[in-house]
Amino acid sequence: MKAKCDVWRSDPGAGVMGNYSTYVLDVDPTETVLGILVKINHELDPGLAFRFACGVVKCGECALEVNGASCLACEKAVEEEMRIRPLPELPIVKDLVIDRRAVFDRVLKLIPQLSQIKESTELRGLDPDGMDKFVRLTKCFECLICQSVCPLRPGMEEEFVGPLGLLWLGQMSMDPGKRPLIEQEINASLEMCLRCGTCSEACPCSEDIIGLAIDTLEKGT
Amino acid sequence: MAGTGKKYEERTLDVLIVGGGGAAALAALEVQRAGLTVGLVTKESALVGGATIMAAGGTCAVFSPGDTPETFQADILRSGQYLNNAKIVKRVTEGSAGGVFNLETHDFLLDRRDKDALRTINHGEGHSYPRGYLDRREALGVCHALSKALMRKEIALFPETIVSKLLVKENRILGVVAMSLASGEYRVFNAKAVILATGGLGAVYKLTTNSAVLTGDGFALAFEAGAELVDMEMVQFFPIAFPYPAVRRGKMIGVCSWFGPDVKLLNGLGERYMPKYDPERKEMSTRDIVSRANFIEIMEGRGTKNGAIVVDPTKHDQAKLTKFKTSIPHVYAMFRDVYGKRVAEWEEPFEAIPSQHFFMGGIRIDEACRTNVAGLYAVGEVSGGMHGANRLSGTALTEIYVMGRVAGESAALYARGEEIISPDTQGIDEEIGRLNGLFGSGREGVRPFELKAAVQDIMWEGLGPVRSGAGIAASINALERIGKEQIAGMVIGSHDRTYNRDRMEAIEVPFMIRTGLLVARAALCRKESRGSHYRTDFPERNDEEWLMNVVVKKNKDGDVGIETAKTVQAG
Repeated sequence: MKAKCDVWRSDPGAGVMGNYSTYVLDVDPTETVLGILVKINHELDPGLAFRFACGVVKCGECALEVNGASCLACEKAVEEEMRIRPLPELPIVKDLVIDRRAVFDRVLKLIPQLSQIKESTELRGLDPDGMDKFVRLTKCFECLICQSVCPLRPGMEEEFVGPLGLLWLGQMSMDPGKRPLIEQEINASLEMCLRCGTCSEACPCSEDIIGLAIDTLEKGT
Repeated sequence: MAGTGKKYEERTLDVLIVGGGGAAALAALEVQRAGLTVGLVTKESALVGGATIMAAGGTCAVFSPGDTPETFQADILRSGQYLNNAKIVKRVTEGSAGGVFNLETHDFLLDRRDKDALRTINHGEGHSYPRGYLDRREALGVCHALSKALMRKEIALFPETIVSKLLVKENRILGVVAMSLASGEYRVFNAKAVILATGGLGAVYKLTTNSAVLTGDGFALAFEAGAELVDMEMVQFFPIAFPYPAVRRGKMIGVCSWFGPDVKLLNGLGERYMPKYDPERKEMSTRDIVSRANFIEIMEGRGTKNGAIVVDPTKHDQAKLTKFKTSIPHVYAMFRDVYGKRVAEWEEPFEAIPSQHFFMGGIRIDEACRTNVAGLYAVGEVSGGMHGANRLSGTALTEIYVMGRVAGESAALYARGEEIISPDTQGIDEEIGRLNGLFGSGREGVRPFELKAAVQDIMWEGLGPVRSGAGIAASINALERIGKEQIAGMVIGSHDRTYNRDRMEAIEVPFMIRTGLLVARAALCRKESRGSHYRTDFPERNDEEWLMNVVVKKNKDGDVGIETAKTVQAG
């Protein structure tokens, strides 16, 4: 089949503002968006910058936006007309590539305990239900889709830890020795979160792990 | 760097780690724990990815009552057909359970039933006891726990950066030259010790279950630096992988036993062929024999029109299907997307191909991850010795969970007693000159991805699951021709400095050729069939002459020198 792709291009470091490049190409209908980007880079435009690594829905590096919905490029099936953009509201390196480290650093800055508190092995004291919950809370791809869709813009501003921060707080709160040390961050974050569910809806994980984290933080267990 | 008059950024560290998987992360954390400065350079953006993040199987260790490290060692040696370095095997098996439980020191919890027991311990193929720890997060949970640990401990991280050369003087490591993909700038790292943890060589093959970044860089870097490499002919293949779409081609689906004893493999003519290759076990044969059979059926023209074989799981036990869905959920999701609903329910057969999966050979190390170059260490899939001629299932993660820490500890101990020696600027200038040459100014010619594809085709045909002396020799000629004639004419498609993947791939192409040649030369040397190495001109195992390792090293003329060496015993 033929596919028409409008792909967002920008190079903030070189002062190049954004616009769309349009590509039309023949594609295998079972191909993914990542396959299309590789094909564009090889056959039509060697300068197109995009990121990927594993290609099998694991590493979360190829997250982007197709026709207004965030997704993993290696998972998303090709469509006849596609408008492909970088994840919204995150700092851009070039074209479809976002600055992942800057997004992580904003969360780390708001939760200094993550680096200050000594690591522990107390999680082993959890009851079987607690253990099950911890495993579910650590199924995240770290693709940053949640930070990008949150209306409070946690990827660009250091006020709210965002869904990823809530998830990390949720994981940390499972350790009974740590929960009291992050109480203030938990309360502040829960107060800011709008409970709009936008992040949970966009998350590519097979279950609602951000919802589970918020629930864990609210119940205090 | 433009404007500053300097060609590169410089950084000095006690220990530099090259690689982005679990072994690299564990080594980095260990060096920091020893109180030394450490940096980690990886080609990927994810802080802990590599092949570790793609691991789907279990992690085997001595967990069960009655099991001992000695029994585990015996199983690994049997699978490796006695080419393994028994000292490394001893260290890994003795540390196996400790290595797994140590992960919980990084604010992490294994997939447990309760405080005393893990949730699932599987009895895998080739093991005398149940040893395979399965995690519902597969290896993803471990990767992210380690990546958080790296970030919050403020270890200096250099993601999306490719190392192009190891700087060595008088057989001693001084540092590395690298390029940042994001900025396009060159970086020089001065270090007392360097740990290579760059993973395997899957992307040197046309079909691989590995990610595209695994272009065999570490083998080529080590060879150029004067390190010895061992068992380079030993490449493991996986029987059942996706034939399409392009992005999924070669990615893992499974082994026959996952579909149950009634699964049938058929060729394009509809014939069931496994009885011909293994009359007794048929489809339930070992994965190397099934991979070889699938390869032969396709190569000899009996494949489907898509160049695949057919897997028919329609006669099956419902419990097997349920297990397939739940134990490897990410594979199952892709399976459903590629083949549709009926195949996903095993109601219809599907097409599949064999694919490269793991590499047993690599940089020759001792049980403390030391190479023959002072200050150069290697760990994980880039190192050789642990697995011999074939890897026992579920031991790849075990190896890195144990040896990752050993490498960090060992390099830290060495670095503590050493001084930083600044590398000669001449050597650095030459390397930067070489890179500038690779990125050339030409506009017409072959792009790096095209040369990569050419190398991958040669490797698949000549050094795949079935080899012959004539085929290997032809592959060597073809690889050398690309190295001599085509690299000079390579052009990169875009002349942007920032985030230009062609520049990274231009550095990878010579690595792939070098690594491919090392595999080929070792495979030509070993005139027998053993483990994953199968030659039609020498189809039998020959213990009398070949119960020894093939070792390759750069000789005085810069060519590949080959020797055989006695295997390393535990004693």
